[in-house]
Amino acid sequence: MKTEIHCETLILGGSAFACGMASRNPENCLILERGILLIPEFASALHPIRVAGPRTQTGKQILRELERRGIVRGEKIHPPPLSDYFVHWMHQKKCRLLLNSELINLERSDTDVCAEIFCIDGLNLIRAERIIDTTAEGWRNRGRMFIRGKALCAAVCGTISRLPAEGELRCASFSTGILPGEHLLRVDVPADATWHEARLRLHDIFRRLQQHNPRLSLGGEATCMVYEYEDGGPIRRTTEDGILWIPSAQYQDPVTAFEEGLQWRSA
Amino acid sequence: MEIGIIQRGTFRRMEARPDFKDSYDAVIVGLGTAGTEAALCAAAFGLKTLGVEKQIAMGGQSTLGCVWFPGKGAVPSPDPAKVLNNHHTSFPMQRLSIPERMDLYEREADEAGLDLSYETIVLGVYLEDHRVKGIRLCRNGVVCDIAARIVMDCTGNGSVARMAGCRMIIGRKFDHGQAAISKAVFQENSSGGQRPRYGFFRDNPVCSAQEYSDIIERISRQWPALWNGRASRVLLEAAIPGMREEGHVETEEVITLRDCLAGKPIPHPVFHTFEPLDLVRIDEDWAFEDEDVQTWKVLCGLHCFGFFASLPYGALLPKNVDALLVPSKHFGVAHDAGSGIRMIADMRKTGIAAACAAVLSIRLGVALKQVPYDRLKEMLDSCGVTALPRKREMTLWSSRGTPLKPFSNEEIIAALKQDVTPPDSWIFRAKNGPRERAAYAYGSVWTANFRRSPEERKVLAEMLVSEMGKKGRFAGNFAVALGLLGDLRACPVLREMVRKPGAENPDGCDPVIPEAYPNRIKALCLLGRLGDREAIPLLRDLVLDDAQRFTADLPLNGKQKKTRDQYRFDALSFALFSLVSLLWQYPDSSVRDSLLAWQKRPFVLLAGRNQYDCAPMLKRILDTLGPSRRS
Repeated sequence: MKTEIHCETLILGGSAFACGMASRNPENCLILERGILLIPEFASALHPIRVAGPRTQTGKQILRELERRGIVRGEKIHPPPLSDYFVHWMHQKKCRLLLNSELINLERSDTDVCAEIFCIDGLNLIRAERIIDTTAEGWRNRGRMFIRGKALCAAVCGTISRLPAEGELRCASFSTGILPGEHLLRVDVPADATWHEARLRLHDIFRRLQQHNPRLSLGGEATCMVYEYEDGGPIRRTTEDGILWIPSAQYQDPVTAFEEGLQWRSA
Repeated sequence: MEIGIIQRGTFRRMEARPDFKDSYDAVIVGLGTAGTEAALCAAAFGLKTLGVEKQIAMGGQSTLGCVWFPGKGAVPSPDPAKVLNNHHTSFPMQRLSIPERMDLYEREADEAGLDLSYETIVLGVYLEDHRVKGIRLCRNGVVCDIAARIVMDCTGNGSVARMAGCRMIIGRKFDHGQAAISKAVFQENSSGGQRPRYGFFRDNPVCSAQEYSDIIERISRQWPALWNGRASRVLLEAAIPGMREEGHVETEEVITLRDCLAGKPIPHPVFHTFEPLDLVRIDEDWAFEDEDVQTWKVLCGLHCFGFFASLPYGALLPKNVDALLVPSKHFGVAHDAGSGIRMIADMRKTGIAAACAAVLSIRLGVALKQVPYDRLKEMLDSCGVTALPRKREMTLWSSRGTPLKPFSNEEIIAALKQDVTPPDSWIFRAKNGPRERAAYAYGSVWTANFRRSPEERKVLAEMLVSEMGKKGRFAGNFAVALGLLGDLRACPVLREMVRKPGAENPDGCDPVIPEAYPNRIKALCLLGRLGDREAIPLLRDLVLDDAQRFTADLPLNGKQKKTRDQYRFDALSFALFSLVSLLWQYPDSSVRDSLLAWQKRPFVLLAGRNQYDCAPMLKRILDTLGPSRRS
């Protein structure tokens, strides 16, 4: 990019909430996503998702499409294809996306915010009137104090004929996926666990499970954690950087999160 | 001290006062395949090592990129016990799944004492004169400075090297075009098996952040996984794109495809490999490629073969910068060989080689460029990195898996006395069939230019001329072979294939062969290389006709997936490049003017895998047209 980018609202994180918000006002919003996948808090987290009934026409339309494409069956979602579907949706709505990019620094003036970002071609500048942060932990980890716990999930393939004794798989749980023979293993980790710690724990749990079921295998590991937030209603906080933080990962399913973003109005 | 950054694509250097929070012997940026090996190895050898990774796991393409083929000899993994106890890395062939590999890397990191920083990027490189002293990191908006005795750029795109002021050389010579970008998923097929599938590609231009973002987005939208039916169920989506090529750092040594094929002695090799030339271009614009790539892919059809390569230590050392190594696919391998020397096994060896060099540099207290090669080789030998691959040279393999001898002149002649069609086998399953033998024959002729003595080439040329002189349907094959030798006696037959293609050809030397890559298109390329002045009017007429007549009788080739427009694109692109080259040698204003008039004409041509309008690309070739000179 050889010039500054301008937008009214800069949204951090290509989350479901961000997609909803941007699709209502596509010309004036720009989504900044660190990775290359959208709605990672659902698509990449591989945790069992149950879809609540959508409230809006748009939400119902999305759900119908997901069902038609075999991504939703009953109330359950098979997460991995969600990202590509939402990219497709965002393109149809002509929303602006900048993938593989993240926020480095902010400078505020009376009229706007100058955001320094890092992309594939180095440092660039974005000028925006406001910034909404939909990432799970908040920019500069400002939301960490509201995180009660995390979990790392994986898809387990094969037949589970025997579970370990009670207590042997502490802080782990199973649910069935929508694919035949698919189980989703969820391993809870402390709120401040690193990826390194979480992964070691996940595989430790899985090895214990495998001792009782030798033919099991891990089909895939999540590339985004599941977040549990402190109770007390939906989180909408203004951080010390002056950013409004609304973590999309607090919602139970992507359609709900999308609708919340779609309907969000600033005060 | 100064800090180097990249701002809007441009390198900048400014004064800085770092506040180093910690200090490491080695900082490895990018924990893909090469970086993971480098980091684990450096730590196992006792260096205080920090691994910095933008993503959330180690392994790069071999984990997050979903590059895993179950059931094949998969990526070997180092044995942690051996790494720690014997400073030895073995390459047992373990068929680890992606999650198993991710777990193994984490445990190895613990055992080796490697510090990890995931979700972290590098914003700048601290430099004192030309020596790297540290890096500026950022993790979720939190910035910190780290001092380092040695930094390894394992990002694959040279981003850290660029911040250190290194020059990057991007893509092919004509337009810096690079290999395609892809995206992978893990899919379940209808019989319940799992395998990776590579998503829709897009050719990789040198691009801005927004262009890159648009490319990734476009690939996602085209992805058939949007339909999660029984036959194409998506199990996992790659969290990183498949960036096959992102330029190479200007290093002390650079190897080219020609160097590899010519068997050029490589000083101070750090590893050896045998790989196919796996260059993917969605536009299939081979005429725009570097010359040796064209010869390999189009003129000879060698895609089922591999080539042997050795990487010199100097390919890991960027020019004019100290305390920096570049062990990743952006090392000193030119574009034309880079699509081969980038596979997972190569990256593993590269990472280990860099780690060994860093260890020696620090232990001996010498600069990286002064690391004694004999000591380095000793370490690499003990790690198994310098083992020669099973396959060497560009050899054919019999059905029993034993190598055959390089073709003699008689074998070349025999192999070309057939209707040549491209091999349909792939390198690791190459058969010794007639198609493969024909391609190998062409390859043998081509490499004779730099493998055989002038006297031997002369003998071969005379034999080819003799066969070509017999005319008939195989004469075109021998004309192509003679052209590959650079022998001007090929020109009359090549010209006749262009002037009177197919059934029009009175000597029958351009038969229309189903599934073949047409010799007449190869002739367009060779006439330019041979500098054949008499070809100019023929090539001009072909262009002015939009290659309609020239391609009218070519079979719409299901196997090669060629449409009429794709043949026209190939023909026009090779003809235009040849014309530009010839007009530089033999200026002709009337031809030049007619081509410039053609350039202005509206014209649409759909080609490439994605069937997009490639007419603008063709017209751009003429931007390099030579000067007008009244003849």
